[in-house]
Amino acid sequence: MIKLVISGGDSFTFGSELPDDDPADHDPDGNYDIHQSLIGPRGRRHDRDAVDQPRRGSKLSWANLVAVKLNAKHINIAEGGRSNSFIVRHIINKIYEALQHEYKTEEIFVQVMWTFVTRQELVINSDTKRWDSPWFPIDPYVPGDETKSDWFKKIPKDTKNWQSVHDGMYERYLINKELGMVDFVKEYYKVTGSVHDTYISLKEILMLQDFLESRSIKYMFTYVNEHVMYGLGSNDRFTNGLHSFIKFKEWYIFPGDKEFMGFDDWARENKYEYATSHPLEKAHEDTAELIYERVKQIVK
Amino acid sequence: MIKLVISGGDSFTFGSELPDEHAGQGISSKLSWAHLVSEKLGAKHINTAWPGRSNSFIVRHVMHQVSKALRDKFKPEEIFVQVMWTYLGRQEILVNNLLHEYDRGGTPRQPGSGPIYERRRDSPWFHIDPHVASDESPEWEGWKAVWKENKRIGFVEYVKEYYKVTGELTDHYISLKEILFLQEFLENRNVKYMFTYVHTEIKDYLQICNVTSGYTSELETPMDIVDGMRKEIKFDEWFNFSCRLDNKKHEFPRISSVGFWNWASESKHTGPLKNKKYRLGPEDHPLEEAHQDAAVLIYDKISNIRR
Repeated sequence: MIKLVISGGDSFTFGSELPDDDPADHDPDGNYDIHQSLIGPRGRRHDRDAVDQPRRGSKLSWANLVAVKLNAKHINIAEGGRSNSFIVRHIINKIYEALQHEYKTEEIFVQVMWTFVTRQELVINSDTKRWDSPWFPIDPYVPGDETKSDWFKKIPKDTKNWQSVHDGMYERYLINKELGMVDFVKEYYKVTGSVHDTYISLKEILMLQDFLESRSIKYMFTYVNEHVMYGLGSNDRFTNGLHSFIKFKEWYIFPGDKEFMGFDDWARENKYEYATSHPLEKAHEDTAELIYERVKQIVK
Repeated sequence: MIKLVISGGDSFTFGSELPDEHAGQGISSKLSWAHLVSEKLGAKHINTAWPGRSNSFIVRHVMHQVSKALRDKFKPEEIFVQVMWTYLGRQEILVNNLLHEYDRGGTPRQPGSGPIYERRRDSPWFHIDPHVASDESPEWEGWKAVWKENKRIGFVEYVKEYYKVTGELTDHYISLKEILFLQEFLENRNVKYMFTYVHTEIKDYLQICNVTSGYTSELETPMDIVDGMRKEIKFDEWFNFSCRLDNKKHEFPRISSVGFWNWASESKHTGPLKNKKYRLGPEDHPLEEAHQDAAVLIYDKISNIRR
């Protein structure tokens, strides 16, 4: 019987833009661990240093709805914009904590919606001023000041939250610059490319697959969008080897005509309602139904 | 029955400074501990070790060879993997150029690849090394061309920035993850393996390093994450070389677990050459006798693993 569900993913698993996704909804006790940690209160943040706070995943997300259907405790480690490396790191850590707390491997179920391979992370030698410090998320936006970006310039200043969004982005840019990450990430993108991204993500996925299988922990893998799968495609001798060991055939594929159909593709094709870039409640509810049918087969 | 041995490591597994090694041509030594163990097992040997490279390199090549062997219809129980882990400070990155054909085929070097690439067995995989970050061209002619090429491609600037933002936790985390990855990969496929290490500090550091300074937010996250990963690695099953620690406070000498290099360079090791130092080469690599005796010790350990 499954007693604990651990979910990993990005904003699509976190449940971004769902009604209960409130940016201010961080842990009221100030504990760093938003993920309903099994361990409970631990080291307190220095709030004066904190730019962001870890936030709880939405209770309306597909991930939480599947956990509810399984009648199991749920730990959602998903976070918007983070990488496959982030997902694997936190899932392994939560499994370790769960096993420390006398959960048996057969009582744990892991579900992951893999994200885009272009997202990376790096452990750095200083405090990132984020809850997940010293792991620093690397993406193409890091080198720039987004308040000067074309997309932000188009947003009228009288738009709700304009000033706070502006200030938050600018503060983040200044912190990144002070950390040396603006310069580093600029150089990083000059020398790395798509094969690098593919290799890193394939390795992360294979590592988690093997980690779960060697401990007989049941799991379900799926993906956000067809571009995730294109990113995992391979024609290099090292990536080919990794690719061949990943059990893609066992992954959950959303119904549809395309070769690769992720949650986002499926929700768009079926005209579910979206907020700015994420599907809303109905898509999550129906996804949970679909995924639960698969999960029932896996855990029986 | 073991039919294929796949070895991973750095110069200590490659057999640097042994009489028959030819690093320039990608030919590892048949006198290395790794090869001698494979001979004792009566098995074909693939030595993926390469001087100066990282634990990431080791895992990448060992996995590639295991994958190839399984495709070539070797059964998992016919494959044995032996790895001597290297220093944590070595890193690599897959870059978006230098994808020369000679790398795709897996051969170390092909005619016409040019002098710059002779030292790069894997051209798209760039070895991150503090020397790369130097602003000055090296004096030695052979390295000048490499440095100029690194500068032109942008590696010099990249590596400079890399060393500014990363530190010991970066190195520590990357190696722990590589080791756990390979352990899980092999166990999940029922491939038998033996892990050991070049230097005592490698295992000590992997097991006990606690990097907390410099993280002002007082989060427990870094070491929580690292501890979780570290505890999943089966360090107790690794092969340790041993040295006697004479301590006047103790009536009997104590045995200390050490790496291959420490064992070979200490006079109080427990190898067959008791109390004599093994000969080391000018670049500090153990020579033939040390490799021979290491192979005997490791083979004993392997006999237990195979049962």
